[in-house]
Amino acid sequence: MAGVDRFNGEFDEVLGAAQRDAPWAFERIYTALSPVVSGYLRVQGAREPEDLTSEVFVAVLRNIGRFAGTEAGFRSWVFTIAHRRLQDERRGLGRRPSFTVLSEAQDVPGPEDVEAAVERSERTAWVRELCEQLSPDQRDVLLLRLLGRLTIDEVATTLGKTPVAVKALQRRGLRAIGRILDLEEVSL
Amino acid sequence: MSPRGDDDDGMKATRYLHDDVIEAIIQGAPVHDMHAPLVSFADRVRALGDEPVPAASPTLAAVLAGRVRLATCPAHDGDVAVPDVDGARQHAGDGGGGGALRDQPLFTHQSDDGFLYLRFGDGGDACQLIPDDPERNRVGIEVAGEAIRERVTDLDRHDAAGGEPLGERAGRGRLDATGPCPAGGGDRDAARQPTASHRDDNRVYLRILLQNLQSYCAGTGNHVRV
Repeated sequence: MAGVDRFNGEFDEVLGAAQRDAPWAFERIYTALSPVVSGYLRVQGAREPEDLTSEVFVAVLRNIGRFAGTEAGFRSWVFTIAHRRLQDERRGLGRRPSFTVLSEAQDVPGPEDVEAAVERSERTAWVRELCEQLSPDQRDVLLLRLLGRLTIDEVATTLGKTPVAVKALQRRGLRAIGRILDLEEVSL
Repeated sequence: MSPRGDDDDGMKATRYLHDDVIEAIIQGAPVHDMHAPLVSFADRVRALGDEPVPAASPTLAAVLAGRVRLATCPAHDGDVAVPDVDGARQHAGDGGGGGALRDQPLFTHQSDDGFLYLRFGDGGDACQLIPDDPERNRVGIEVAGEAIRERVTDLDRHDAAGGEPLGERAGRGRLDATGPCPAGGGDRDAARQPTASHRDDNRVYLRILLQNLQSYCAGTGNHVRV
């Protein structure tokens, strides 16, 4: 699958160096996985996706000595942390009600090229708008599968569900997206 | 199936999503054209992962630059319980799978050689500030050229309520600048830390403390924060 190997086949070396506190390895891990984690958090409606991404990676790097496994397992582990962080944020917001709804959350363009930032913002908004119409479970499953590249079993572990339930959610989610897009097509 | 037949243009592709088709869409493999809208959706979601690397927070930037180490710090007699941060202690002790606030620092300790440790709620991990970092000293604004102990003491200059250096207060077991010293100046028991009436002040103070620590860790981020 294209784009899965984000370490150019050097994951074992990078992991070993990171576990020996090598800053270059931390940088490699952050560079490789932070865009997908940030994208996941953004589409999920995190209030401060970049800050939350940093929190996720501080937690990852603090605990990296305890990890053992493959790149796929590592990605799954990182997304598990990201998902739990997101849940923590939502619980926190639940205690302190917010008036910002998902569709109103703004992406503030950084110092990068403005045109690219606008394009990115529009793409994110389109995906987010569609995902908002899914149930939270369907959204979690589809984003973890598409963006996180997690397998059915890994998603099941991350979300605490059975693989059968994850497959059902995935099917329903895609069908819902298909129906929405069909309707959009008709309305055009 | 559509009454008009499988090959009718009006048939909705999403009604016939078999497992192999779903998996192909998820994996980005070729599928029939009738699934084009779903393929487009999947492509756009995947593309979100190819965007620029987001800016790291000051703390993470310091870690990535090797200016702060995430190391193991065993429990120390001089540990000072950080006042309750949004119920951090309760969450940290619950052992639940949610991981709520497990990364909140719960204790702080200044060692004799000037290192400052933050211990977290999920074990003995710590954030260790490296004292001798010429690059950081060059970049820092207010703290340039100072030793770490002086920098820690310098926190008090930013603390309007503070009358005594943090190091002295921490050594006696309290972080709040104005409250009474509990139990004769050295009580380490978190349960006997200042009562609820002091907690709001403590929270505010702790936030100032941690924000300052982040600035000192950050190096290149200092100018932004300042």
